[in-house]
Amino acid sequence: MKYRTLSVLPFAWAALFLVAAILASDASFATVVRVEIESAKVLSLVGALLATFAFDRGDYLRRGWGLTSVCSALLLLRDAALAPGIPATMLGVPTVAWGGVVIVTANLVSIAGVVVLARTWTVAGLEPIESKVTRRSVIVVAMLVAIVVSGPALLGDARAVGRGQLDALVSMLSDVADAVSLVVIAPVLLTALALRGGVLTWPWGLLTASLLFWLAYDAGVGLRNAFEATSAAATVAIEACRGIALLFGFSSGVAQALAVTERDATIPPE
Amino acid sequence: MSEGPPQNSIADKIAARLARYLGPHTGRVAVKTFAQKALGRGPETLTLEDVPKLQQALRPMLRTFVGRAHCEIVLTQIARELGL
Repeated sequence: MKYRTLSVLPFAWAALFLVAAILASDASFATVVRVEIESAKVLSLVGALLATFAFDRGDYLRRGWGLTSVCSALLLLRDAALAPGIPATMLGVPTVAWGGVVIVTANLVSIAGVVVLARTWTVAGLEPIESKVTRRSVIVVAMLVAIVVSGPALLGDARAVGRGQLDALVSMLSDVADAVSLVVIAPVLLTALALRGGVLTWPWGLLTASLLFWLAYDAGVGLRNAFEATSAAATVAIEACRGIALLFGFSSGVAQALAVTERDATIPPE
Repeated sequence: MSEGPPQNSIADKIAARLARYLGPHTGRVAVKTFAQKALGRGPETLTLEDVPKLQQALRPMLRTFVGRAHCEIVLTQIARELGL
């Protein structure tokens, strides 16, 4: 039941956001969106931290969830640096540039984190459950989706960097992190499917859902940029996808913590 | 009366305990994989004497998925259920 609630929570969150966005006046719309984004990011960090500390030092998955936590914390730190009232320069360097450094670091940490999580099955030493053909097909599809969704933005940013626009480097690294996250949907999904029927299918399934909604968010941003869509409806749709992705991240972390700390009810007390 | 496939209650009990975490299919696959790795034999040949070796082989896999602390709880419970 707890796990099912965790799987529904992101959609309840999106519905709440939708209602708040509809009720918001033009003046308060931006605030509603900002509050939704930052609250979802905080919850995502909480979920990742719960999962991290459910494991002991040296445990493999503590590393994966720990890196995810660091990435979430850095993204919040960057948002805080851009909040109103923050000085325009820090230590003689523009705050925006500090934000760029934080984003680049967060993206590198994020790549490391998702790769650690995606390799869990292999590290555990288990034989693949699916046939070679199925596994390769899923990986090829994930790679194609990554190219379609992240490719155009990555190419545009790489060209800008080539022209000497160094600020595009931050965006380019974000695109690379997005592409890696999309590709690792494949092994994470295969792990979730292989574990079905066990409690561990929940964190992996919810993590897959999170990655899929990041995919939807990236695709939404790509479409918005391509069609220069600036309407409130487009913003709400895109931010709802981001909110759901972040909340699935939260649910996944909580499910992971529950799965490894909860007492097994089938074990009789001593 | 038709006979089903050969069963080994030791392998089944271990797989059932692992199934809570890994699901029934992967639970069985894990017992088969690590029985082969640790003992060079299939799960249907498992005896009580083989269990400590199999537990040792299962430990890294379980630690990866559920962490050191929970792994030991699961392995202890397996031993208890088999009367070891």
